[in-house]
Amino acid sequence: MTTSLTSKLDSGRMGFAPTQWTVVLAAGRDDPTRAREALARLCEAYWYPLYAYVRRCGHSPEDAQDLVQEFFAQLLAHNWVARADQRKGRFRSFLLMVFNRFLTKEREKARTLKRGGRISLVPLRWDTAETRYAQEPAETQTPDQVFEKHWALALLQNVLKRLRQDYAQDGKGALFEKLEPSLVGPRETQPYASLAAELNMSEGSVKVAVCRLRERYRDCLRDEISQTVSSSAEVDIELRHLFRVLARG
Amino acid sequence: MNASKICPSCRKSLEPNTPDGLCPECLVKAGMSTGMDLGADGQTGSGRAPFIAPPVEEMGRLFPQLELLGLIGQGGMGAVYRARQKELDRVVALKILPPDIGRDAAFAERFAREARALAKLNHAGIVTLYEFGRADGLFFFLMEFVDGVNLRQLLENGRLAPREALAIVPQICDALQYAHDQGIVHRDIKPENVLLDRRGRVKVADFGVAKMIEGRDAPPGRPQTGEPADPANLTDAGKAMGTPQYMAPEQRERPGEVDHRADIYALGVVFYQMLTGELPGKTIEPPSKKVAIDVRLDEVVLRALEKRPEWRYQQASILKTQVETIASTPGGSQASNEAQDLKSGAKAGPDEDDRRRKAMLWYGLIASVVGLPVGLALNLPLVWGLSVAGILIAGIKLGLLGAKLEKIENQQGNPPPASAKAAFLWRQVMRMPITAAFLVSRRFAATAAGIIVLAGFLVWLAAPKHPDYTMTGRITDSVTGDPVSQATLAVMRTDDNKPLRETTGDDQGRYRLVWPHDADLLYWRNGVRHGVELAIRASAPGYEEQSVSVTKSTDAGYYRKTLEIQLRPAHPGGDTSAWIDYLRLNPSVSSIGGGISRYGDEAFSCEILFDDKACAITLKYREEPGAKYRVQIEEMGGRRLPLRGVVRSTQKKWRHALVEEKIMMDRSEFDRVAAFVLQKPGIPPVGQNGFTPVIERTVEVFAPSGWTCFDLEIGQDVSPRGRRVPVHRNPYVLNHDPISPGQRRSANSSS
Repeated sequence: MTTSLTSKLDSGRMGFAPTQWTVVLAAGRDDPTRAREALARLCEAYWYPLYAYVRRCGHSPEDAQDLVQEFFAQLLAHNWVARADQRKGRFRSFLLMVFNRFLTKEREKARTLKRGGRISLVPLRWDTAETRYAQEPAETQTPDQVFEKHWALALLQNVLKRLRQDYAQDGKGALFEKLEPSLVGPRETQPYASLAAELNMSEGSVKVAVCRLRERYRDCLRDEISQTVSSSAEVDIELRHLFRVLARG
Repeated sequence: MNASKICPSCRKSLEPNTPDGLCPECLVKAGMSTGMDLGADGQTGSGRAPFIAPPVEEMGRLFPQLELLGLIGQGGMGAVYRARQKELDRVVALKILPPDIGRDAAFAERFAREARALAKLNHAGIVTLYEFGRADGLFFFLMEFVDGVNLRQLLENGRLAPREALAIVPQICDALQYAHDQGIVHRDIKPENVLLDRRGRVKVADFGVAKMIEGRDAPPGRPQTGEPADPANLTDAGKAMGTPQYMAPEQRERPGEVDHRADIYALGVVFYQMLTGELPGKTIEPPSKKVAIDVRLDEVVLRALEKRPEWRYQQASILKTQVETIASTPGGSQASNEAQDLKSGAKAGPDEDDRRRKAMLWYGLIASVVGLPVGLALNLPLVWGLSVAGILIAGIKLGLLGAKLEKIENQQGNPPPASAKAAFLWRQVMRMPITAAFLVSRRFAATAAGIIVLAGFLVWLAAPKHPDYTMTGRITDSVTGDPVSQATLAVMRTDDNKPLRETTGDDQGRYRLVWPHDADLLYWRNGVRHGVELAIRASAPGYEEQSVSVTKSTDAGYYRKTLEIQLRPAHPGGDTSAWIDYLRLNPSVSSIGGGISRYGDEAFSCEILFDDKACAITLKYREEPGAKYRVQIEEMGGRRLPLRGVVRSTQKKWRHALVEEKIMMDRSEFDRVAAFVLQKPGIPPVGQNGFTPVIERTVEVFAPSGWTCFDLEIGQDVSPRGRRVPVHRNPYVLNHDPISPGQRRSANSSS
């Protein structure tokens, strides 16, 4: 399966541009470094949901940090991706499954990890993790639900970050800041008039700018989701799942 | 901290850590919409271009038979002109619809339905429809022209005088009742649709969303669940039509199940607005509180605004009767209301005596209900017995009074629907005490309530919050199972070891220990300890003292627990021979536990059984994953003994395995058994042969010279350190001479 995937990607017949997750999946003995880089980038984007998950499971902050840290170290060192069920092909479910396995093993060993002295390939922000977790409202959801919810939020945050970077690169950083709130809500009810006044543009051009922003946002969202799935059909499924998760909580 | 924010679009409150402060749900929704361009889309609702009414000249061209006099109004849904029918010389209203609606089959059908509905209606209070058709692609209605204003325009100048409202409402009721009798529900009653002509006559208009109800030959009193008459049913499926503020709750939630009572609700809203100038909010304030009007009107308005259709007026005509009654009997203050009540007797409703009696019964009921838990908590049978009696008496009397009230209500001509009788009665019962107390005396009510609350609080303070803990059980000998009589038990906290209570068991070994509750027992939640750990220490002469921990999960119940304690016979000190004899005499009972304490996560604990008859030693221990043990047996001096056979059985549990090894030996070797050596395979890096004894544990169990049992501590280094522990002694054993090293027991030994 792996080789056929790679060959399809190479020949471009699949029509699905190689995303980080497909790179990871397709990594065999060919290019492990590239796969590891892609995996590292994915982990960097989605570590907080794991932290929230393990905290919700009842571990203390120190234990949670140790566990997540150790998990990523092992994930990047070992070839656990080989165990991923290629048919499902979603990074989110893979991550949770492997993390659960890891937790079970850790529980059996019940060892505390050594701190420090370990070079982490994935920079994780521990100083803010617990503060961020403490700000969450009292959780009434199961750990799985917590994980999914935070995954969704992390995804959206990444999308907005990327959008902001894109606009900043084009020199339109200020424009993005002003227009960002108009991503939300129906097209007709946006305050075009006040935006036009603030930005010193005509109302018509404001409308066009907002429309373009929303299009780019949509593209960015779909692209970001596709980074974690392995086929284009999955993107819609994942998007709908995202909506369900957020509507629930 | 973060103040809770609201998403401007979906109005949900936002959690603190949302991406860039935007609502995540709306963000995803925005990501899901497919290609919305700047141009107008053809979907319903949003994006419809505003309708520009054709100028009068063009209309005149389309309708040659009319003389167009002017445009009255226009909106998204069409335009209305004033015109004159040339032939008949009468002024009419011409309503046309936007041209693109004609292309939309759903809307076309809706207006066709409006026409059909209006055509059935011929009433002075309803705008008459003369004609309906299509001209040059435009749908048009030709209707009676009402020379006046609509109610909205009147309300724009503020609220109406009550007199005016009371003049308008009955006419609306008449019109509605007529329409309902024809089986038609208006569904969009609002001030814009209530027209008043110059003579003050009311005309209800705009049956555009009217619903036809199946089976209009049915008697008017029975509510219908609507099945629309036309099969097209394009607008009914799932969509609620109408103006939100005036829609009845069932119209919002279950638009398919709406019947004529929704119109009554809408009328209630309009009535409220006429009297107070405002729309009723989420919690409806009675109009008399806002403006100076007759208090009796409150009842009418509020009843029309009931959330449940079966609690409203079931007929518009009844509402009209009530309103007219109130209008015709003057007097708007509370005192005159009472006078009216007394004078008019049954007509005004249940009399004051009944109300007062009802209030007293309610207080009695409340007091009884409060008294019941108090009596139970304090264990006072008299108190809770009286409470139960009080509840019964008060309940029965209230029921009787309620029935009487219902009879009076019936006399007023408001027969409640058969199916909702109970709900109606309950509503009446619930309403009464409030008004009754209001009438009797507010001060009295407040004082009584205060006394009850104070009494309840004092009782709660005095009552012991938690009963004592009770622990019962039996003390038995761990070897023989016989009860141990006159054992001493004490319960204490593990942190300071001071006994809380002490007791002595009886001759059958049963004991009962009671101590006061001052803290919860130990329990774990989410990996955190809560509560206090207690221990029960049991001791008896000839037995080892034993401490058992008591936590929340110890058996049977919260405050009453049972704990069976087994005491081990104590070592008499030095003399182990008797034990040996006992073992030899009763091979099946011989067991000595070799416990090795936990160190880090290495633990090994083994139970060793000797079968003297068969010369077999059985080892039972727990094997952790990855920690396979190899057993070797040594004699005194360290020489490893050959084993005739090892039978090993493993019972796999979830994370470990229970191993039972039966080791057979020769008699000569059996007597020489001195120690067991268990080896554990090395952990990586693996040494030679794959079996590096990183940790060697020696359980020295028996030596012919004297039987001792070693309890080993396992450290990280290789060499085990040991210390001796006393051997268990059974007090029932027979006395024998001590055995000396090397000697073997003869005669009575079984072999």
